[in-house]
Amino acid sequence: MSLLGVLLWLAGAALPRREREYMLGDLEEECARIQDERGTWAAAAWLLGESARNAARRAAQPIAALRSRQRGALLATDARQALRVMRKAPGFTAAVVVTLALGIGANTAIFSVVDALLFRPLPFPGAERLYAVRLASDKPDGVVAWPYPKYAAFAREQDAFDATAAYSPAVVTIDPGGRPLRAEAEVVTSSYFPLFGVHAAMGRVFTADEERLPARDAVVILGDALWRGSFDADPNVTRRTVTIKDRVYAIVGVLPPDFRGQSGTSELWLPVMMADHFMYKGAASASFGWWIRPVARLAPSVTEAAAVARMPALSERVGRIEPSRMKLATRNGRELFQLVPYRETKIDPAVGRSFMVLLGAVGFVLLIACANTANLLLGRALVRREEFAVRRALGASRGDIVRQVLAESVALSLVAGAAAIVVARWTIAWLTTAKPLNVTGFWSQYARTFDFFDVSLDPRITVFNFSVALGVGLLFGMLPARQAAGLELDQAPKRRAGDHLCSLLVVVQLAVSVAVLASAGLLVRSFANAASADLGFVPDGVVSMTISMQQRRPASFYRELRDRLRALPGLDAVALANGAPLGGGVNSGPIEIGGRDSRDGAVQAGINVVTPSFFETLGIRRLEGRGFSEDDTETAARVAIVSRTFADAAWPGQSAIGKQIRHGLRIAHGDAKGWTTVVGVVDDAVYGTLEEPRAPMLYLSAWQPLGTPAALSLAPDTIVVRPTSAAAAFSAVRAEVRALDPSSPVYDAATMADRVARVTSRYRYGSAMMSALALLALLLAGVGTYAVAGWTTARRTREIGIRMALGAQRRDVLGLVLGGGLALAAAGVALGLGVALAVSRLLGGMLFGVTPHDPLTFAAIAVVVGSIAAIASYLPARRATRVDPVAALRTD
Amino acid sequence: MAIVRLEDGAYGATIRRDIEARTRRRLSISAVYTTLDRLEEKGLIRSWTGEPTPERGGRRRRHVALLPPGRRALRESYTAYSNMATGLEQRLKTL
Repeated sequence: MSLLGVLLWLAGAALPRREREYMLGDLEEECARIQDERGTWAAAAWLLGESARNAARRAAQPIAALRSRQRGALLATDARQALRVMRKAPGFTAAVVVTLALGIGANTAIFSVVDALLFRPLPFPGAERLYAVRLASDKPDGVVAWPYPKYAAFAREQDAFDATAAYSPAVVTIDPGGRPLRAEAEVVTSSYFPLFGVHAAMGRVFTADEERLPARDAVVILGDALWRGSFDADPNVTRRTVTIKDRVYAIVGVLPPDFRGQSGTSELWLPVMMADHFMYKGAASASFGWWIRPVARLAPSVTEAAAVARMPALSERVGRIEPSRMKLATRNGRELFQLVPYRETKIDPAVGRSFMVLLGAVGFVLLIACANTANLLLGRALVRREEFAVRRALGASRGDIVRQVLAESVALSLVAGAAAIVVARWTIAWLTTAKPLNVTGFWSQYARTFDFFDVSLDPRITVFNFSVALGVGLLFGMLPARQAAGLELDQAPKRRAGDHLCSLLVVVQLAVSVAVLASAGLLVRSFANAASADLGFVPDGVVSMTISMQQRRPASFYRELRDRLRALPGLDAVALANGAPLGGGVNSGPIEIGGRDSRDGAVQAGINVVTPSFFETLGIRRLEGRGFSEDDTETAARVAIVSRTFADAAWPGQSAIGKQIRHGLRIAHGDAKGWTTVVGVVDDAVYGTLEEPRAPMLYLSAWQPLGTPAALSLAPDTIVVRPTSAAAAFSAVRAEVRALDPSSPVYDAATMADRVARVTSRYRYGSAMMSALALLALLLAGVGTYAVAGWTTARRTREIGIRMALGAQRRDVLGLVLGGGLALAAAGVALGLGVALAVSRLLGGMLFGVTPHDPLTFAAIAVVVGSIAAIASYLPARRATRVDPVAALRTD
Repeated sequence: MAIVRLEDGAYGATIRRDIEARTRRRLSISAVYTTLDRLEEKGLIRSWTGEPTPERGGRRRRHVALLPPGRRALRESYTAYSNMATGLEQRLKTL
């Protein structure tokens, strides 16, 4: 290799890869030329010099980098400047930060909840492939619960799923030794645990062998809470037993704390075969009981459509083995398996809808917050036009000003974003603790769903939050920045496009707050209606609880119980009943009316069995006739009391007293065909929920029991008392019941006030959330209007001064300024009412005693928002009239 | 101007040669590339790596060409220079 070759190679090695190819090419070319002209040494010298200069150039590169780093320094300067501006205008800063933080925070919180409720997968393996298998019927939801043998045939025959399981909720009384208690249980197949990916925290889950013979393997698995609460977290609990219905069950395992079954409240698991023992004989083996709910996981190779396509053939196959002996479980007389995505069974569509409404409302409020922020930024930019003009005059470029304004907006929105996270955390905490109580109807599903999903602020949402904040900052920072950049020192304040933009923003804000307020107004009225709804009884001071009776008892048992309770100090009134108001409903059946056709003339009515003092204890008004007396016993004539609705349905326009009815239930004395005489009429009381129409109710005396002894389902096992202290009453009554019947635990102890709170909770919840949002919206819109009116007026000071100098009266000026504000308000309110009318229909499921288009609510809202807007524009208008014309002319 | 003159043949070595020849000033290749890099950064020229050429050991060339802003800038600065120089030709030579 020649000398030049070596040097070229070295030079090439010293060059960065990026430049090597073409630089080396040039060097070689030049070297060859110089070598030709002046010889090798000259070429070598040139090459060395060239390489040195090259190295020097690269050494200088960091300097170039430094120059570009100046841009970073500029950013830091901007940030410092932004912070200084924020400190200098604390009011403005606080307004923007609070506005954005509330808007974004509320939005983030509701979004988190909606996300958890509607979009997040269930916490089970392959959750998106889980399906509830139902029997198609003539109703859209189909039949949910199957007989076990039918499920077993389905599990055997099917070829579309890689796992199937079935479960059923149940309530059992267990005795862990001396102190019986009621537990929410789940009766499950052995495949249940692997399907839902649950492993025992201690011991084991059920085996397939335990799903072979009815009532053979008496085993039970405890939930974590039950293990801790009733077994003192005994590490050797798997060597202990519990008694259920006089049979000893071995505890074989304990589940982890995060698993509470499909209901979200289960604390005990029992194998499906044992249903033959603790439920009734034949539950697991015969095909007449409809109680177990199948769930199946689609095999990975099978699509939903393919699985659905296989169902008719499978249904037929299973139907031949285990035919449905119930016409209700067929569609058009044919059996068909129906697949429902499992998560849909967890979420009530009404809940989903109401949360979408809420999300919409929150989105609206965010919109207001953004509009407000934009207005504040625009207004502030106008106020600072002088500062910007000076900056321009001192040599700041348009870019500098834009950058500075942008930096300020971004800094503001970042602070607001951080504050919003705090707001979101609080809101979520509130949403999850203030969730509606577990009552009948769809809110129970909702409440359980919360237990199921565990809502938290997740990183995705936090990122979303910050992006919203930043987006708002950038977008609405840009407008004032552009405006500010265009300013020159000599520019007189003129009406600019920005004013129209601000006016538009005010209209939008007012419209949105009208829409949100109208929704809130409807919900508040619903809550007020629900809270003041006539329950037909006086809930104040009443407490009720139920005994989980383990065996039939004669009337004498209940009489003794009543007498013992009466003897307790601190109880003003004592009554027993089969069911208490707001206790979740009672038995019902067709009641035959004397003198009418036995079938067509019958009245479908609820049946309650009560002791004589029941109506007085609950304050249920007697409308006609008499109540029960202590003499209405087995030996006396059979008597009944009916509710107002019953009387109206059976004997419209007539007195019910003395009329005959026949309930067809077996009674202690005399035959079921015997007639019963109506001796009194009482007011309707609410037993189930507020929403369902008042059902006719038939009251029978507990001292004339149905069956000997009374059937458990009709026993007067609910205790209703009027105590001086609720807490003392709970323990005193419990102690008394335990003394009388140690095997039967007391459950569902609550004050009537609590029960009322439960049935009204959905309205309270809805109205509280919406009202909070609405107040926020109104506040923001009011402040926004005030701000805009304020600075528009301030900028017209000179004009107003001239007008006044030329003889305009205060009234004229007031009208001028106020007129502008009111025009905006009118536009906003009109627009908002339109939006509200469209939106409120979606609220249907959350309303009570008020129509979605309630004119009173809408009118009131229009007046409220209109007045707020009027006040917001009146204040600056009044200030404008105080303007001293001379001073005004001197401004600007 | 060298790029304008060299047209399609404008690359590091030729540009350097042209400038050296006309200004009688010594110029390094790296200085040429530094300048070209800056011009490219400002969007006045563009550069691309060509096909391997046999005459220089099969190495590629980094060709450069003017972009419209570059043409404009060149025209403007030339116009400005020549306008400034108008009527001074004789005196400038005798300075």
